[in-house]
Parts: sequence; structure tokens; C-alpha cells
Amino acid sequence: METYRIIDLRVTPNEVVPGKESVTLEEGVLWIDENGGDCPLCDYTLLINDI
Amino acid sequence: MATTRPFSYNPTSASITGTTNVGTLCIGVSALNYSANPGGLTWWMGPDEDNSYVIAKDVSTSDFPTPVGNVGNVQFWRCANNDNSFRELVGIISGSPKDSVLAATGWLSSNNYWTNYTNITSVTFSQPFVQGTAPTTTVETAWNTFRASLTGSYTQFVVSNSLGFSLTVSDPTGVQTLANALRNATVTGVTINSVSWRIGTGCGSPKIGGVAVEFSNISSCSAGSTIAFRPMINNLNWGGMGTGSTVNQASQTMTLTFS
Repeated sequence: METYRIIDLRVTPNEVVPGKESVTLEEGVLWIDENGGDCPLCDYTLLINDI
Repeated sequence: MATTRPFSYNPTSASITGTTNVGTLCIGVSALNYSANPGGLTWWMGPDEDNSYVIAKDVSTSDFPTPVGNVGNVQFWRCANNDNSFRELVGIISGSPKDSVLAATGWLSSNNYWTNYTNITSVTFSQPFVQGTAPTTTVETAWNTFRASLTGSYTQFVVSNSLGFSLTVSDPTGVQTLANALRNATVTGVTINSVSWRIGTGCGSPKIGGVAVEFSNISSCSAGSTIAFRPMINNLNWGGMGTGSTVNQASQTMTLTFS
């Protein structure tokens, strides 16, 4: 199964959110919407992990 | 008297006086001596457009069969000038049936085909989405130009991309509400065929300033959207469609047309 890492877009350079180095697409989408405040996609994104 | 115009493959999409480009397809507009190879290109006259719809596409390998050998750098399709024939022809070219003229013209636009089909009053946004890259000011400006153009009456919209995705949504009341909200930057939600379509205004800070107006399904500024046009978010999550969540979508040309 493809795994993703959640990236914090609010810091430069962007950093992986601790503990979110390996999530499924569904887990990542849910986490971003729940933790992104008023602008979830402005705060976080998902990047696919290399195999 | 036949109506024709010249076409050529323009690999750099360079601007040539008296012509216009659709991707790397160059179309002659002004009366030039096309046999003298303006722009350094080899030009071919298109088919007769009287009582016909014509579609054209460049052939980058310049080996399309012609009466003088396999040297053609453009290809043409032609059908009778009625909507059904046009839809069927685009369905054959694209390899997938098109259930509306708007879906047909949307596919052609997303894939840089030229056509003389002009029988619908429509407004289109069509811009490249590059994976992992924030939108350019060109994309942001095109989005605002598109929104400002939504001044007419609309009964359907088509969302499509260059990767084969296309969705036609028809609803006289709902589509007009969405078009008006897009133009006026008004937060709005409309449900059509059990799908929620949203106009949002709070997702990011545009490079060019102004309001961050977005168009998406499911929810505004949400990772859960599966179709989204968010050129004003000013980061890599600005859009895409067809493969699930609209985060980190693959590169594609995104097209949205109201008609």
C-alpha cells in the first residue's frame, strides 16, 4: 500500500509533521482537514513516500 | 468558395506575427505568403470548413501521410456541422464517448486541439497544473479573468483534464448559482445529483492579491475534495481531479467550462 508523509507548509523549508511520516492517503486527508484550522490546505499537504 | 486556413507544427510555440498558437499547433490568421514558410515553419492548408466542423492537431514527428509523402506535421478531422456528429467525432479521437458538446470542446481544449466549432456561448478556464508547484501569476490572472467573464446564463459546466477525466454537470438553477457566486466571490454551496459543489473565499493568499476564490466539490479548502480549482491558494495544493484527494495531484491541464 502506498504511504504518505504529512508536510507542514507553514515552516520553511517544509518539514514532516512528527509522527506522520507514514500514513495512508485516507488517514492523511482526514488528519489535514481536522488539524488545518480554517485553511487546512494552506497549512499541510501530503507527499507520497518513495518505495 | 471554400473556406480554409493554414496550419503548422510550431515546436517552440514561438509567437509568429499573423498567426495564433494552440499549444504547439500554429494557425494562420492573417493573409501571409504561407508558401514562403513564415516563422521558418512548413504550412499545410486545412480542409474546407464550409458546412463542416473541422478539428486540427499538430504531428510532432512530422511523418503524417500526405500526397507528397509521409511528411505532414498536422492532422485534420472533419464532420458535418451538427452537434451529434461533432460529439461522435471527438469521442472517436479521444477514445471515450462525449455526452455533451461541452465535454467534447473541453477535451479538445485540455489536449491542445483546434476546432472551428463556435456554436455555444461558453466561458472556459484552462491552465496547466504542475505537480508539487504553486500556481504562477499567469494562472491566477487567468482565473480572475475567467470569473469576471461569467456574466451570461448557464445550465451546465464541465470539469476535465488532460489525463482523461471529464465530468458534465447539468442543472439550470444550481449551475447559474455557482457561476454567479464565482463571479461575485460569494461563499456558496449547491448540491447537484447528490454532489456538493462549493465556492469558497478563504483558502490562501494570492500572489496577485485579491480574494482567494475557489471552486471544488465536497468542501472548501479541504483535502477531501476530489475536484478542485484553487489557483489562489499560492501553494502546491491548488487543484486537480480524477484520482482521489486533491493534494499532490499529478501534472495535468485543468479545464472548467460553463455554458
